[in-house]
Amino acid sequence: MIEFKGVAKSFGRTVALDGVDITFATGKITGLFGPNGAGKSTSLKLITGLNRPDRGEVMIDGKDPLDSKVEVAYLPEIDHLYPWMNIRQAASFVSSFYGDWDEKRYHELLPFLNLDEEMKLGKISKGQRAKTKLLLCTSRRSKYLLLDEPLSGIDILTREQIIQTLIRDFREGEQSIIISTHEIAEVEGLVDEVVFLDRGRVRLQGDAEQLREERGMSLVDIMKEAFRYAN
Amino acid sequence: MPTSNWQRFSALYGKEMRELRPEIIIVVAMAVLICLTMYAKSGTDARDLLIVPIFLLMGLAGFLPFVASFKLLGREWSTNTIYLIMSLPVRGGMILGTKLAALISQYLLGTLVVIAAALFWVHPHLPEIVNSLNAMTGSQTKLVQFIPGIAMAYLLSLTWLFYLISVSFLSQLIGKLFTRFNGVITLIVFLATLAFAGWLMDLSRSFCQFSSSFNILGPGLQSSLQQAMVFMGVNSAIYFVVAALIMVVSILVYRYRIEL
Amino acid sequence: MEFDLARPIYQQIIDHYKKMMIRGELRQGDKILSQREYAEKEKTNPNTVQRAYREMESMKLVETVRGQGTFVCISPEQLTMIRHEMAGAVMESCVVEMKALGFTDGEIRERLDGALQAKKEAVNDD
Repeated sequence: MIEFKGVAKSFGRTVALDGVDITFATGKITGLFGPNGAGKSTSLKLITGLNRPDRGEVMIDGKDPLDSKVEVAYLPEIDHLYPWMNIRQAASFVSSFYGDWDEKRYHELLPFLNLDEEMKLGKISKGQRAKTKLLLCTSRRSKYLLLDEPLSGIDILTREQIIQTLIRDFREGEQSIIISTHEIAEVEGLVDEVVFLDRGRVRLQGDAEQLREERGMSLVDIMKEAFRYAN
Repeated sequence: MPTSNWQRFSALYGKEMRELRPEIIIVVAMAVLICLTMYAKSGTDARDLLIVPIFLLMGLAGFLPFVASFKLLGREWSTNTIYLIMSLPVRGGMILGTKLAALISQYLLGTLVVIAAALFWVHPHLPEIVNSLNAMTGSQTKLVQFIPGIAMAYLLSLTWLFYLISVSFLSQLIGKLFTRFNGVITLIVFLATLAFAGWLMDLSRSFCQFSSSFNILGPGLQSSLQQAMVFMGVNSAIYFVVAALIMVVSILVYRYRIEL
Repeated sequence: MEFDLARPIYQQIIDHYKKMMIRGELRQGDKILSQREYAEKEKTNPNTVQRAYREMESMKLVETVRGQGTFVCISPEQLTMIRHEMAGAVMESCVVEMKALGFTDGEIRERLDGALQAKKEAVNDD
C-alpha cells in the first residue's frame, strides 16, 4: 500500500501538491486523474523517490520510497532511455537491476507489441518508444507499476496494444498499478479506484464502480462536475 | 531475489564505457596512426620525429578523461536518462563509482597504449638515453632503477586524475541543485573546491614536512631519485585522501539533495 | 461489447451473461470464458470481472470448478425468474419514460400494439 500523509511539494513558487492525503489501494488499478499541472506527475515522482516531499510523508508498505525502488516499475512521460541502446541492450541493462525480471514474458511481449530487439531507441517512432518503455516495465513482475501518461500522443492501434498488455499481465490482488493521465476516457473501463487531483488538492477519491452507482455518471462526467464546483 | 551488486556494477560500468567509446577510439587510433607514419618513414631520424606527437598524444590521453567526466555526468540530465538512473535500486556510491571507474579505465587504456607505442619505437635506443641522462646529472643509475620512479610518477598522475574527477562531480552536482545559472555555479564551485582542496593539501604537506618520520630534506636519503620517490608518494596519498573525501561529499549531495 | 460508463460495469457484465442465458445462447453446463479471458476480450479491469463472476456465483448462476473453469449452472426455475425480472425492469423503464413524455395509459397500450405489429410485419417481409 502506498500512502501520502499531509504531503506538500513546491517547485520554486509553483505549488505542485498542497498537503494531500491519499491511499493507493493494494492489488488494484488506480486512476490518478486531473488537468495538467494538477500534481499527478509529481505524485508519481514522489513514489519513485525522484523527489522528496517538503512536508508530510510518502510511505510504500511503511517504508521510505528510497528503500523501495526495487519494488517499483516507473514509466515516465518523457523518453528516459539511452538513445544509443537497442531494445535488447536496454532490456539487458534493466534486467541487471531487478530480481523480478521475467525473461519469458519479455520474449512473449516483443512480437505482441511488434517490436524488434535490434531497434535502436533513438531511431524509432514515438509509439514504438512508448511500447518499449511499457515492455521494459511489464517484463518485470513488480509489486508497483506507475504509468505517467502512457497513452498520450500515441495512435489508436498502439493504445489498444498498450491497454491489452496491461490487462493481460495485471496480477490482480498482488500488483498495484497507478495510471496518471488527463485523458480519463481512455482508461475509464480499466480503473478500480480513482483519485481526482486539481491544483495540488484531492477533489475526489473512491471506488470507480461505487461512484458510478451513486452518481449515475461516467467518471469523465463526474470529474467535469467536480471541477465545475471547484471553480 | 535481488540481483547481485556485481551484476549491477557490470551493467553500469559497461554502459559508461560504451559512452566513452568515441574518446578511447580517438586516442588508440591516433597512436596507431603515429606508429604507421613512423613505420612508413623509418630510419634513424624516426625517433626524433616521434617525440612531439607522442607527447601531445600523451597529454590528450591524460586530459580527455577529465573532460569526459563532465560529459558522463552532465549528459544524464540533458538526455533525461537521469530519470532511469535515479529510479534504479542502487546507491549514489555505485552510480558515481562506476563513472569514476570508467574514467580511470579510459585513462589507463589511453596512456598505456601511447606508452606502448612510444616504447615500441624507442626501446632500441633506451641505453643511449639513459647514458645521456647520467652524463647530465653525474650519476650512475641503471635503466632498471628508473622504473620505480616512473611507476610512482604514473601513480601520482592517477591520484591527480581521481582528484580532478571528484571535484568535477561535486561541482556538477551542486550546479544541478540550482534551476538557473547552473553552468556558472558549476564553474564557481569547481574553482572554489580546487582552491580549498589546494589549501588543504598545502597544509598536509607542511605537516608531513615537519613530521619526523617524513623528513624528506633529512640527511638519511641517498639520491635525488629516492627523494623524488618519497615526495611523489606523499603527494599521491594526499591527493587520494582529499579526492576520496570530495567523492563522499558528492555521494551525500546526490543522495540527500538531488531531485528531478 | 460497449459498456455504459455511467453505470457500474460489473453489473453490466452480469446482465450480459443473464441475457445470453435467457436467449438460450448459454445453457446449463456450458463453459464460460475465464475471468482473465473475459477481461482481455472486453478490455476491462480483471478486478471488475472478478467481482461480477463472484456475484454470479453467489446468485448460483455459475459455478467454478478448480482446474476446469467456470460453468453455467442455472436451474430452469431461476431462468424463468430472471426472465421475469429483466422483463419487469425493461417494462418499468419503458412506462416511466413514456409517462415522462406525457403519454396516457391508453396511448401507451396503443403504441405497444403498434410496435408489436410493426415487428411482425418486418419479420414477414424478410
